[in-house]
Amino acid sequence: MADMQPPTNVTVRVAGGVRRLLWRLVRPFVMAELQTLRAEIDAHDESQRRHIAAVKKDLLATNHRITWVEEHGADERGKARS
Amino acid sequence: MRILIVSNFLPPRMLGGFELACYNIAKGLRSRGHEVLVLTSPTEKQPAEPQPFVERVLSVRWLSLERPPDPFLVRALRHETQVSQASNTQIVIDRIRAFRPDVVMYFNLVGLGGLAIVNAVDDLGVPWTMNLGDRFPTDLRATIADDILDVFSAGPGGDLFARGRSAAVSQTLVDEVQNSGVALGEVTIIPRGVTVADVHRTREYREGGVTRFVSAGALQPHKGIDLIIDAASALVRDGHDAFTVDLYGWGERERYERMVADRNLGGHVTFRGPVGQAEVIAANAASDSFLFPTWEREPGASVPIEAGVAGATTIMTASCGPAERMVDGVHCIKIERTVDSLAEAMRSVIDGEVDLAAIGEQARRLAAGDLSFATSIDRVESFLAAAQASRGTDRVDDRAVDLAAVERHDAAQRLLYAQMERTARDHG
Repeated sequence: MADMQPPTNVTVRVAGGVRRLLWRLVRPFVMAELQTLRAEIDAHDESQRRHIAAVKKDLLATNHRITWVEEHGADERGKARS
Repeated sequence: MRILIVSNFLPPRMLGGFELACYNIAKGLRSRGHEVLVLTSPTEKQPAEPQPFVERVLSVRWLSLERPPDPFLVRALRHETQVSQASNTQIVIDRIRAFRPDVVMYFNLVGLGGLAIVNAVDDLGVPWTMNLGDRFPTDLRATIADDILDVFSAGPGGDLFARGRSAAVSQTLVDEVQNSGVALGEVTIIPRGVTVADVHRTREYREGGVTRFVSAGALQPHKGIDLIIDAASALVRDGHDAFTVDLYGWGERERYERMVADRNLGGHVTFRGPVGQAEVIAANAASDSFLFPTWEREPGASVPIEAGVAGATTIMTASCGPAERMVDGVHCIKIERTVDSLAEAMRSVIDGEVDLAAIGEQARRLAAGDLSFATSIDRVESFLAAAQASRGTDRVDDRAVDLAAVERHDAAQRLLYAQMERTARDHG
């Protein structure tokens, strides 16, 4: 009984220490990798947002064009008042 | 209609395109038989033509690039620029009493103490409108403390700008203003009309096998000048060197000249300096393509469609304001705002993959119809007539309005001084 408890606590403490040491060693690399991933995701999101905005605006322009042609005809040259 | 227009600047005093738009719209409305009075600031420059409908009586405070060294002085100037100048407010009230407008139209009130003017005119019960070519309601509130804004109902939850109607050049601009926390009233989208039509080409497309690109505007990063130079560099690197780029405008010329020299682009990129609208149109009539890789928040410049009238195919940022009226591949070429995307579009023009004549013809049609100046004035007239019809209780002769304006001015000033005192105490 006396032999069993102390080695277990020591094992746990050693394992915990090793884990903390390992984490301290790899943490900067993991954080850098996460930061890179975050930046890539942000850049992708921004590119998607710009793309969606661009498509929306082109649709808006197309709709304006259709409305105008329906109301005024395709060849509007000279129709506007000066 | 009797229309009172208020604008911080008016040609020949100019900063950008809105002053010219203001002047053209004022003249356009007069040509339709409306009585127009424009209140603006003085200028030392001689107008190119008589301006009998303009009174240069308003004082402009402007925080230019030259800043006073004292931060308190900066804050006081900013207050007069954006919040209140009692004399300007009183001048506008007095002119309204004398001129009896059916409707008031604001162009840009930054520099005039605009919040106080809008509030006082609203008190008079005269229908008022904003002609938004840029985000001036946002700029009037920027960096001003909420308790000062609240004096003019312009703070968070305030409805000052929602009491009038707005004509904005694009939905892009409306979204930007509203996203900044400004509540707007009824909004109508009215793009600026193009005042030029049927410009004759003075050069064949890709004459002599050389493609000529033109860009005009401020030589600043937000206009995409860096992108243009980098795209030109990428094209040369990839073996496409039968092209030139002419850059018109003022700004960071020395920095860009260094960029061009560093990239050995001297034979391709030329700086032509600042010129007027007519010279830019003439340059476009002798070019193949107009480069407009501007920032996304570009509200509604008319220069891309003016280039189209001259037969130059505009290559423009796909997500900017003018993109709402021009269709990709029909009236222009739209790009993502990157060097690669711009270079690819320029390459397609250089290699003859774009039908420049067909796009030029479509752009001319657009400029003669939907985006013509006459159509724009039609829309402004309808917009102002609708605003006039919404006239509420008239208090034009009520002197209590003047007293309330003075009280608000004083209250805002007391709050500003109290802030300054607190800041001085906090900093020992």
